[in-house]
Formats: sequence, C-alpha cells, structure tokens
Amino acid sequence: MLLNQCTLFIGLLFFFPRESICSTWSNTSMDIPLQSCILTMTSHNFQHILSWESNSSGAIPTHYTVSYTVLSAVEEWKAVETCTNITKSSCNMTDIYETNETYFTNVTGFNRKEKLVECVDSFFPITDTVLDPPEVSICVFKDTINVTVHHPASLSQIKNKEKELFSSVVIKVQSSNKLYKELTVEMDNQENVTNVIDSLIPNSNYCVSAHWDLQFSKHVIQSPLKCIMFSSSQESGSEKFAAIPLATCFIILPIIILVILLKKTGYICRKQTHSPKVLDFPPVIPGPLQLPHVKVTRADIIYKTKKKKVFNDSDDKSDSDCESTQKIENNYTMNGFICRSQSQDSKLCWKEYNSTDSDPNEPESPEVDLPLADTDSSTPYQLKTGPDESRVCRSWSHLSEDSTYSSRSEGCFNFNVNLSTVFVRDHGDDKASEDDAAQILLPVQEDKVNLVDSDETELKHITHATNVKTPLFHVPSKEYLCSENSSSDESVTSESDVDLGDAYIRR
Amino acid sequence: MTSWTLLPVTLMLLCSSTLCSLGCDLTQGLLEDFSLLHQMSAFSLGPCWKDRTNFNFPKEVMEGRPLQRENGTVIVYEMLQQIFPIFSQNAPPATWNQTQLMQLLSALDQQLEQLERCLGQDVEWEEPSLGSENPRLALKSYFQGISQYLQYKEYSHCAWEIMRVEIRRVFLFMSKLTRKLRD
Repeated sequence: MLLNQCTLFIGLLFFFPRESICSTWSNTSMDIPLQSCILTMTSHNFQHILSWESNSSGAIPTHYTVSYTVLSAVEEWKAVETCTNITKSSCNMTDIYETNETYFTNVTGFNRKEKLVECVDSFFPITDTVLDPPEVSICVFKDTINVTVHHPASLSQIKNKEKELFSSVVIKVQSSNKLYKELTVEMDNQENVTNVIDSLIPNSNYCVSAHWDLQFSKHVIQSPLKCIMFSSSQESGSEKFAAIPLATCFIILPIIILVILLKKTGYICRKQTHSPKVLDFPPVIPGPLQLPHVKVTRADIIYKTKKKKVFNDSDDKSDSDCESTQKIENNYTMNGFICRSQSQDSKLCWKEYNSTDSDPNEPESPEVDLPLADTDSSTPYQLKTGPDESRVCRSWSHLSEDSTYSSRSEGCFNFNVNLSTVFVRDHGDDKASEDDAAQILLPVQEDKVNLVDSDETELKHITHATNVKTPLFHVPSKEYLCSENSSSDESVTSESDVDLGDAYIRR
Repeated sequence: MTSWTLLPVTLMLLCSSTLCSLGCDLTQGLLEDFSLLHQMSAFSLGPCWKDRTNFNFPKEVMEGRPLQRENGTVIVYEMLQQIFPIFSQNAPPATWNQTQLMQLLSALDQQLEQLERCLGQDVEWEEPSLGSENPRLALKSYFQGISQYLQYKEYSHCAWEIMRVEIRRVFLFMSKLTRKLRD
C-alpha cells in the first residue's frame, strides 16, 4: 500500500506542476485545522473598522494580529502596525486601503505563540463602505419647491478622490406617504445642485429625501425626510412682496422722468432771464416814445379845409346834429364837425381818404409828436395809409372844461383827421426847412385840393402829394381808437405854429 | 458673409460632437456592468486568498498618458471585445445569479454595437500619437493571461471568483476613463 502511494507520488511529480503538488502536499500533511472566526468590516465614509469574533469552542486567543494583502498581487501578508498583538477585537484600517483594490484581511489569534485562530476575508472598499446621504434643503418659491442637494461635510475629503461615486443623486418626493416623484440629478462635480419641482397640489404635505445613486453599493442610506406643507397662501404672500417693489418702480420712476423732462424743457422752474437794459422802459412814457437812438422828428399836420360832411356810420342818425367848428387851442387848430348823436358822447371826426401809393421808402420816419404831458392821458393817435376809408378819432384827454369839444362827463372826445386833405410837415431839426428830407406829404386827391393858404412851397408839396416819404401814421381802418380816459389838454399841446390861414395843425 | 457660412458649419460640428459624445459615452453603461458583476455572486473570497495572482493589468494605458477621445473609445471597445467571450464561451459557476449574468452579456453586446457605430468602420489605431507602445497589444496579452489563468485553475470556483473580481476592477477603470474623456 505504501509502495503504491510512493509510486503514485513519483509519477505525479512528472505529470503535474511542482507548485500544485507541493501545496497539496503541505495542505494534506502539515495543515492544522484552524478555528474559524467571524470577521466584520464596518466601513463608514471609507473609515474602515475591522472587528471579529471567535466562535471556537476551544481555547480563546489572547492576542491578535491583523494583516492584509491585495488580491491582484502575489504578496505576503502585511501586518497592520497598530493592530499587532492587540487584545481588543477591532482594528482601524482606514489608511491602508486603496478604494479600487480588493483586499484580503487576515486575523490571526495567538495564545502565547501558538496560532489558534486564523480568519481571512475579502474586502472591497468602494462597494462595502456606507456613505452618508447627501444633504437636502428645500424652500418654497411661488408654486414650486426648490430642492438643493449638496455634499455633506463628512465627505468633503473623499468626494474629490472618488468622483464617480458622487456623480448622481436620486431625489424622491413623497406626498401623503406615497411616492410622488423620483428623479435622478447629475451633480457634475458641483458643490450643490438645485432642482425645481413644480405642478404641485396645493394644501398638501410634501416630503423630500435623496440618496446617492450607487447601484453596486450594499447599503444606500436615504437622507432624512424634509417635509413642507404646500399651501396656496404662500403664493399670494410672495406675490405681495413682489408687488410692492414693482409698484414703486412703475409709479415713481415715470414721475421722476416726467419732472426731469419738464424741467429740461423749461416748463417748470424756469430761470429768470433778465432782459437787456436797453429794453428797460420807464413805467410812464411822457409823450411819444423817446428812444435815444431814434431820431424823433416832429411832423405837422396841414389841414386842408375841405368841407365835407363826414359822419360815422353810427353817427348817421337822423337826430344827429352836426356843426362845423374851428377851434384854436393850445396851438392847435381844429376844424371839424361836431355831431351830437343820441348818445351823449360828442365826437369830432374827420374822414380821411388815403391812397395806397404811399411811398414806403422813407429813410427816416418822423413821428408825430404826441405831447402827452399828462399822465392820465391816453390818446393814441394812429394813422394808417390804407385803401379804405379810415377814420381817425383822437380823443382829447386834456381839454378844458369849457371846451365844446370836450365832454368830460363822457370822457370821450374823438377827432377824425382826413389825412388826404392835410399836409404833414416835419420839423425834425431846429432849422425847419420845407425841403427837409423828413418832410412828409400824404397823398392828396386832386379834386379835393383846396388850399386855404396859397403858400407856394406848400402848394408844391401838395401837388406832389404823392411824395409820402414815410408812412407816419397807421390808421386803422374802420376803427375808432378811443380812450375814455380824461386828461388835461395840455398834454396834447406842443410847440406849433398857429396859423389859421395855413390850416396847419401842429402840435 | 463668412460669418453666415461659418454658422451652419459650427452648428453642425457642435451637433455632431454632441451626438458623438452621447453615442460614445459609456460611463453609465460601464457602471451598470460593474454593479451587475458585483451583485452576481455573494460568495466570500476569503478561502480563495491563495488563488490570488497578478494579472498585470496595463495601468499605464489608462492613466499614464492623456488619451484622445478616439483612442480612449478604441481602448474601451477592445476591452469589451475581450471580456465578452470570457463569460459567453466558458461556463460560469452555477451558483452565480444567472439572470444578472444574462443581463451583463446582453449589455456588453449592446455596448459593443454602440461603439461600433460610434467608431465607424475604421477602428484602426493611431500609431504615431501613442508612440512606440501599442496599448492594444498590452490589452490583448492581459486578457489572454486571464484566459490562461482560468484554464490553469481548471475553471475552479475560486478562479472564477478571482477572475470576476479582476474584471470588476477593469470595469471601474473603464468607467473612470470614459468619464475623463467626457469631461
């Protein structure tokens, strides 16, 4: 029998690899059956704690030595330095593990120097470890719930090392203890990811939790439930808060813009612009406008006595009673008609005929010197060279009381000057020359010329009455320029020649 | 005018690159393979610690040099092509979860087809970019060693378990590689 076994062994030497024979040999002859023990690797966030339990019924080991080796290399057991000849039944093996490697852990129990227990187990850190769940925070915004997922602080060191473990997160939304929604969110190496959950039912309770999307992991822990009561009142509240700044924006801003625009255009807050000093006029203008740079020349109105009955249309009343009068007053010679109409106002009017061919080329415009010394006189005297009949009424504001022409009670006394029958002579300078360029002659109708005084030069002027050098007067057509203010008649007067025969009206 | 002509070209390039990346990105698929392989067997490896061996996995292929997207995809394709026959041609232990095994095999087949579409007809290696070393050869020798180990161990249970754990590690490496290429 023994010879057969030896023969068998010799034969095996040739036919089988050496190592396997030797190992088989050693196993069968020298292997001591070891008591078993139970190894438990507890790994939390890659913090590995190996603990063991000996379930042998025989002698209990007093000391333990923990060693390890890697699966993908044929290496000898490496003893863990902190866990050599220890008496406790646990060992912290955090630092020695590579996450992607598979390890064998060996716990050998000794009783003095005798090996009593030997237990070997495999350990794959990446699958066997239990990771903390991601942290979830929720907030309600209008009608949605914003779920923010971020790494817990305990995984801050590991997340950069093992990015594929923390790549995706599964978020579960429960409503009334039922799964309402489940969605997978990619972290994409970000610190946190926010996901919006909409289409929520108002007035219902929602609970949110998340866990790492690890299909190979044995234990996947859910994060603690975060519940919120979703109600519709939150929606209005948030809208209220949003409405207030919107209202201020839409109301105040246009008002400000409007005010700025008005200010820019000068509609409000207008700056006081001061007019030039030359335009500052004294409050009272004594007499005609005395502008320093304007040459004021006096013009005499030469009246030609053409008795023509001129009446105002309004005066053509049957009961009007007109009489021609001539009055010399304060160097004024007035010839005219007085028509007493039903109205108590007495008016003295001249009708005048002006032709349109007045010469506008007058370099100088001598003005009628209106001696209005009195302040309360308001006697504008305007003549107008127009085609139409025009009437000029001049109210004498400063006539004497006993003047038949004045009606102080009425306060209106009008004169109509027929400029076609008058000559206007300018006395501009002291050298009153009839050949003065400032002389003004108004157009005269030929058939009406009837000079009282046969002054040849003046006749000449009359015949060449077309030389109107200046439209001195602007006579408004069909208008009465009457002022009802009464004033003394001194204001009307000025130096003028009194010449009844000449029929000059001077002032 | 040139900007108008360039715009559709750039859009097309973007679309094609996006589609390509989507079609060639197997990160998720590889992680699923990994988890299937892990859950397939609940066998504790403790007693098989003596059957451990060094398969000489070519780590430098995966981590050493920065790989271009095309070469990385070719590497993954090559590895999947080698892994598939190991599980399909041989008879894995009956103690394994057969459902999950079938799922793994179908997933591998699907991924191979996907990579073939992504890479097109040309799966040639770009020799100049990788220098003198040919990672393809290294991978081929690696997987050949695994097959020889199984044969040597006579397809024992421990050998299958050791081989399973090693392939599991390879899938982890591949998923890390594809994630690197994607980012």
